[in-house]
Amino acid sequence: MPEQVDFRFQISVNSPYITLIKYLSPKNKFLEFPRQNMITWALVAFWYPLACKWSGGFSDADLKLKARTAIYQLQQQIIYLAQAFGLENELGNQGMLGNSSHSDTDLDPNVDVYTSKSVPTHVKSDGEQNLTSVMSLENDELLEEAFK
Amino acid sequence: MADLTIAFDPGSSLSKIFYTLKSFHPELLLMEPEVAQVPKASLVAYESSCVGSPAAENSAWVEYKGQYRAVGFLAQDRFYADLKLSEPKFELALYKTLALVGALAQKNSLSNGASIRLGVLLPYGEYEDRKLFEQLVTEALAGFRFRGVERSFELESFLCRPEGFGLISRGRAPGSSLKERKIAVVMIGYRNISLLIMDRGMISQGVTEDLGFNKLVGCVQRLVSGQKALKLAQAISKAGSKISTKALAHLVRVQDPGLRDTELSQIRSAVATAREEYWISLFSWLRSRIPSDVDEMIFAGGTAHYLSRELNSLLPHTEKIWCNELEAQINRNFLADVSRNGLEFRLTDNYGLFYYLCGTSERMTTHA
Repeated sequence: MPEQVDFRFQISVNSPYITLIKYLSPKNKFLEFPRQNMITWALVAFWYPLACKWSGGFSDADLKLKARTAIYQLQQQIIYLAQAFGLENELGNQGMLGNSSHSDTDLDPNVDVYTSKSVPTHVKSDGEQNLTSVMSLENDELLEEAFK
Repeated sequence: MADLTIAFDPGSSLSKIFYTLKSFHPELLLMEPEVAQVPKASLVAYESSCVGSPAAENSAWVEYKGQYRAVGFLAQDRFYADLKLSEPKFELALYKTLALVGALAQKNSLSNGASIRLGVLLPYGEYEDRKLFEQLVTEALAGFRFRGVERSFELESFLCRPEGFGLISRGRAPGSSLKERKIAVVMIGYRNISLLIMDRGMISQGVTEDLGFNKLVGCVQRLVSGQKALKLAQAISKAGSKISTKALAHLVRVQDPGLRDTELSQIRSAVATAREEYWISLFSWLRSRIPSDVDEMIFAGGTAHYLSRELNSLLPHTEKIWCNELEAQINRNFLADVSRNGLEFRLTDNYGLFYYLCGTSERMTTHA
């Protein structure tokens, strides 16, 4: 097993967020997703791009890609919370669940905008370049040959 | 980039579709797996009885060459279609493809003449039919009707790959070349199991067998009466390896409170027996086909995860890959859908194909 890094977090029992800590504690057997994932996703979406900027060693294009990914994940969390608490209409009216790649006028009347996935449009300029680098992996040419 | 890029996994328990329009914007669409042949009059009656505007994917029916098919939720809910597990997947996949393209075109206001890049996963046993499928789907997409409206699209490119391909291409950690490894990809789905052996970048073996999760479900159905297959499958899967009675409780049919515990206990016992029987068949099948010198085994499919404890004990010295990173990406990006549908583990192969499809678009041969 690879070496592990310990990260502990303690708060006062009087903290207003004690419910959150109890909810995420291993004693809670009814979490929606694996506990570790829930904690990591939340931290990553909020702070990972800033951590990368702080650590140095990332190009501007890399940092933008990480920021864009984090924004995308936060947007997904908005949709999840809206669905969990029945706020789709309210947030939809504020344009927070809308699909930014469509204008209202080009939406088909049959489209259910509140249940379809809605994420921010990727910025085309350097976005596409980054996308290609993410998607083209070292074994692709070999795979194309193997499955011809 | 085509107007619409689609990666389609025509699964027997769920049609799974990742797609994007020209502006890269991945979306997930799920459709029930059923396809039903329906008389035109019934569809006309259905349309005239529709209240409001149902979502396109939930009211999908297509007309092609004088044949009418309801697909997805409409077929399941209104026309009581069965899963047609004995029919070739690619034959049903033709109607499913027309329905999903029609639904996506309606949802996204795509006009006729739009270009489509389509990627499809088929079981290895039907992979040989890919040329035929390509021919059928090219012709059909050029002229069909979706909910009575004439539709016509250009298939800009077509990529058919065997199940498991998305995992080989995007499920492994970067930096490990396929040229140096012998890999077994084991896909266990609802209908069948596919095994693909790749030896230093070459496919050395591919085989598909009707030994999917439905065998386990069928065994339970023989032991307890009156249970519907898909509902039972979902409950068994949720009950997990410890066979939690809580997850099985809604299967109990008797009303008498005194008998409810007895029936629940019978169901649990049937699941335990079926699980053991199923694993014995699966183990024997896998051991006789996977060479003992494989370097890594990649597992995918809901059934594989259901049996993860047992599968991890196969060939103890071989590296086991469960595509956790790919799965975490799906969970992060499609959190609401995954949570609502209990889809963990079932989308990874197609998600891998989707990214492969987008990433290799420049190099792909343009469809003639």
